[in-house]
Amino acid sequence: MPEVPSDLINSVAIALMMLLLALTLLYTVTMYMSSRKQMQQPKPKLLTRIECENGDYDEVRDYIDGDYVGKVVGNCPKCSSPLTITAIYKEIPKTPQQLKT
Amino acid sequence: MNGGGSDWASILLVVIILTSFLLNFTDLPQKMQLWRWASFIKKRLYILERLELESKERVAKYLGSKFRIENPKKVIEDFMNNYFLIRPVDIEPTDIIKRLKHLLRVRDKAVKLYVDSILKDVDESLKRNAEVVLEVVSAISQVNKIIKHYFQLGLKFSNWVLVMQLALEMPLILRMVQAYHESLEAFTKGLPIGDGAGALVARAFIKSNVKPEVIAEDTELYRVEYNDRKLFIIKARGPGATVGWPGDAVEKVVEMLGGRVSRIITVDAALKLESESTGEVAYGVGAAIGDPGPEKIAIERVATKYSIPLEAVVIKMSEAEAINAMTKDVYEGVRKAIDIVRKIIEEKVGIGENVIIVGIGNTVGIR
Repeated sequence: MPEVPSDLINSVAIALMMLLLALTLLYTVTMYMSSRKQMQQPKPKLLTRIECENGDYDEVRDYIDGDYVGKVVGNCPKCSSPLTITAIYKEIPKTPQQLKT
Repeated sequence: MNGGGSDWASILLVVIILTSFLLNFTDLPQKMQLWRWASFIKKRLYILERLELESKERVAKYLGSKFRIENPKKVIEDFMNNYFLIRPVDIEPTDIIKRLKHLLRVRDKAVKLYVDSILKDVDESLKRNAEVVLEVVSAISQVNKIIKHYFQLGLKFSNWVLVMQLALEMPLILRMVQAYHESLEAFTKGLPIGDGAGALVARAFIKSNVKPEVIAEDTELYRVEYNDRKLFIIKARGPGATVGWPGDAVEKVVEMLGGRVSRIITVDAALKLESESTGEVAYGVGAAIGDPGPEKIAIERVATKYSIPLEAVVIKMSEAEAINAMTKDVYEGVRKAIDIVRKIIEEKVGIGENVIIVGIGNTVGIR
């Protein structure tokens, strides 16, 4: 059997170690980036939806403390029937990445 | 051997043989795994501890500032260690539903008495919110205790399988606890939550001038006319955080009408599968209600007694979305569900006939 040059074995051993080191580094960086990505969630906005009971008018405004669904908040500007809160929900603004897709 | 290269090769060979021996003939791999999983769990346990602490502080602040309670931390501690429920014997199933219903009612009353004793002269809906807030902190603390129990047990007996199983479950558990922690915002502010989707659908059929009748504890009945059909709408009494007793209510309304009911439509939030989208709406047959049993069986029994068709409409969402402030996606699902209920009434209920609509779920933030 032909003898394998010792320099070649030496180089292969060092290359293997370097590869392992590079993979570990890459894994750590990837994990760090993904955890940072998870932390950067936009703050949701609380909204209140108000509708006229006859369906003539509706509006969405920011939530005010004391709002609840079924609360009468005034009269319809078009037909004067009661304006009631029909929903309160949170809207999460889309991130620039989500907007691109 | 000649030259430095051969020396390197010899060292590498010895290291490989030694490593192979250690990995194959000792417990070292298991110990290493145990150490790795344990460190993974510890990191998440710190997060759990932080969430529990933050939840307690938030609730203490809420009870202290909103209701001027002098020692809110004691109120929380006294609640957390008590009010457990021992489930009824199930190896003898006779009347198990009756026994479970009785135990649930007794526990519910005990919790209400506790909250009433602390919050005197406070609006009922705020009392219900405080009740749920205490339940949430108690649940977070309980999960934390159980996780620590299994973790310490696994370490004590070097049971790496137990520790590994726990580590693999940790992301899901953490997500659930995080959701519970965030839900405090909704309950302290009195915002509608995802689970209230059913109640919100029911509310859409009720105009502001319709007065409710108390049909069961914490449960109301609204009589509404819709396209010449008589709607009997049942939902928990809002805007406090309660689910009411819809089974009892349906039973009473059906008996009150002598069984002359064309259909019973139940609307509820349902847990979505990971591949499904939030706000998807589906309909089918049966009682859409996720209680421990007594309420669902009450609806099924009375429907069977009078051969009343049961229609179920569900709005899909994740567990986190179900217990947190309602999202826009869930609300869009609610709008779809309202259209489906309207369609069922128009197509399957005759003119002049009675139909019962039951909005299942926690009615926090929904009158």
